[in-house]
Amino acid sequence: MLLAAASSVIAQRPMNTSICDYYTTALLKDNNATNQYTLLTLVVNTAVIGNYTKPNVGIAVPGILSPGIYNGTQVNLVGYFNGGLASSNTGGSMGVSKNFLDDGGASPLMMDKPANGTMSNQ
Amino acid sequence: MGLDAMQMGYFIQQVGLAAASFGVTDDDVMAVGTTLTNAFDKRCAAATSIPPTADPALQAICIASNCPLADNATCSAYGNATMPAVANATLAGNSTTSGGSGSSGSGSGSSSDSGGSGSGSRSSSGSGSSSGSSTASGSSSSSTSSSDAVRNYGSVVAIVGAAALAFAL
Repeated sequence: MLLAAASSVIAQRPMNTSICDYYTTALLKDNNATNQYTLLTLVVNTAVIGNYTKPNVGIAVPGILSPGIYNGTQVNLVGYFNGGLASSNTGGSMGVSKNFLDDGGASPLMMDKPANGTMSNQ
Repeated sequence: MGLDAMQMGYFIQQVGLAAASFGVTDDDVMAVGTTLTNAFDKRCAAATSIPPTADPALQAICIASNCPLADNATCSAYGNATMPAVANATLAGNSTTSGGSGSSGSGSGSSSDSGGSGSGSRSSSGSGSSSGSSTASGSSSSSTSSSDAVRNYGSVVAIVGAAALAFAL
């Protein structure tokens, strides 16, 4: 990955610096639009599929696509992403089923891409 | 997407954990979690512009009765938003919820967090509130339309937008 080596301890963010600006600089050095997008991609992809890249300061992320437990309750969100539930709003009066993992699933996410192609739901 | 407090809590927790895994401080993880909670995790939330340049729209994704009620709640605007139906039981697995009690459907889902190579994990301090059930303010509308948030949140692209919102503050 394209990350500069980051220490595992990041100092407190100054109050007049946004989260986006601060962590883009801390992790990727240059605070430009490309790097801000990269930072978001890393965080979002990790949130979706779990840890897959560096740096990782030692926090395990199961990911939104993994079943888990929250406050003692079993949770499984995968049906909202693979079309299992009629949970998408395409403008009608009822939810419809859409598979948002129809273009590579986790594999392109692990390469910091949203999907293999550009024309899919994913 | 119509979710209950446990599902939303888990979702927001994963975003917080992901940020923390890159070294984001606890204070900032909490800020991100709070932003997501206030924007999407309050039942009947009034129409809001997300991002600020967009038209106001109904953003609440947590629609079950165990979701905390928003300040300035506008439940009638959401009509009779219902939890999504199962389209494919095999794909849905145990994703369905009862909609009100906060427990997911019966199933054989794994009961332990998997993945990650860290030495121990900690729960995000930014996860949305989910304890207790809020008083249900029943909607009298018979419409079955889902909230606008479904359109906003039904794709990974929209999730990027939500995370961008949290990080842009």
